[in-house]
Amino acid sequence: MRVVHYLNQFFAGRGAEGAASLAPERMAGAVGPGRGLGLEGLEVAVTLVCGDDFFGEHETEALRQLLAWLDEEAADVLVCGPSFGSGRYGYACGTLAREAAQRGIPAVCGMHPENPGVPAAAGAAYVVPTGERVTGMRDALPRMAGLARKLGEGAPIGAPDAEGYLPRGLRHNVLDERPAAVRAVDLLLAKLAGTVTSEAAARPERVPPPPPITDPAGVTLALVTESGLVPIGNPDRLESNRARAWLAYPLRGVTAFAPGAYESVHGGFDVRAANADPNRLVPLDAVRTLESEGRLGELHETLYTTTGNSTPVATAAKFGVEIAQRLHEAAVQAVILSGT
Amino acid sequence: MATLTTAIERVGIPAVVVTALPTIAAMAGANRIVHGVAVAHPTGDPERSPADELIFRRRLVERALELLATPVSAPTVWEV
Repeated sequence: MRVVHYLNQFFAGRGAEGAASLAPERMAGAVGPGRGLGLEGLEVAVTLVCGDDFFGEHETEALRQLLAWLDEEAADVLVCGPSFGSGRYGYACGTLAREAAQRGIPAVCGMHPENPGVPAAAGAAYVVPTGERVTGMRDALPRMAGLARKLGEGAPIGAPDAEGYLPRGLRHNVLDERPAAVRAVDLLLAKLAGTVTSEAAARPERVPPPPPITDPAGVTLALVTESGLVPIGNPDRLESNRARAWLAYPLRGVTAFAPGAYESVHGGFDVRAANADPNRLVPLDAVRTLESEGRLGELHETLYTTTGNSTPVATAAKFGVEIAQRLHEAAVQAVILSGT
Repeated sequence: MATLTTAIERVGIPAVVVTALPTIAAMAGANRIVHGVAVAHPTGDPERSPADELIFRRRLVERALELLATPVSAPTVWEV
């Protein structure tokens, strides 16, 4: 069985965020977590690597190269990650796995169920749920290797809860010996006991787009960011990942984010370009210019900032509700939110 | 970032997301998206001269304001 493994720059040992713009590479044999797959009896023949930012910013180009290599290598199965709670890495894994699976190469990823890579896999690839952090590696690898081996061998794959992967949104009819009434009561009892394993997860709620503003020259606009932008020295100790809070900083009298006066503490990207000119994260200087020219009504006097890096969805949702409340009370009419 | 956006839009305030990863933002529920330059500098471009970069950023903000003033019914991605 020929196994191809996909990793990002970090897990391939090519560097941290500074190497996130690394173009796709092909390496012989197992690298990093691939060696762990080997210990589980899944020998990796080839490792494909791509920087997370490169994949996100040049998806078509990255996919073209990675899929060409997958074809050349005649992979029987593709293993991606695990990418845990990392959004960009997970997205790359889920997208590549989906494309591979749609071309007939079975693929398995490992990531946290809230990772945006799960919807990216789109039910075409298998996703083994993992913890949010890299400490879940030892638990994830045997389960990923087990499923990958079955897929590579072309063995039949059972239901999600039996095989340990996330439901893919497919239905499969089976004949159950128990009559419907008994199954209904069993399921109700399981639900009351909190042990239901087969329940489909709710899709993330979509909020319909609010009506547009009529004229920018008449509105109060607020700036919100999850780029980890803070005053220099990070006086309120915003976290570089898994932020526990959002922060508000005054913008009154601030015409631009001067280098040396503001910085980013985000741990998920190389902050050098942003710290050389923090307006590259939040476009305050340009907003002020448009405001002074009367093209924009008024800039709201507060910047709302946090770090969006491995933040659990529930935490981000709580931040969002709290910030939205403040914006609503301040009669803000429009928001520019910059994300990294 | 889309989670914050969704919460803000739920109280009726239109929000435009500027990001280098528009596909992820759209998938996660953002409705108005402007394609930013790069993950590490969504609203700037170190490759340009300082004067050029400022002109570009102004254009980016103008596009964002324009999109905020445009009715959309589904996730919409605009290039700068």
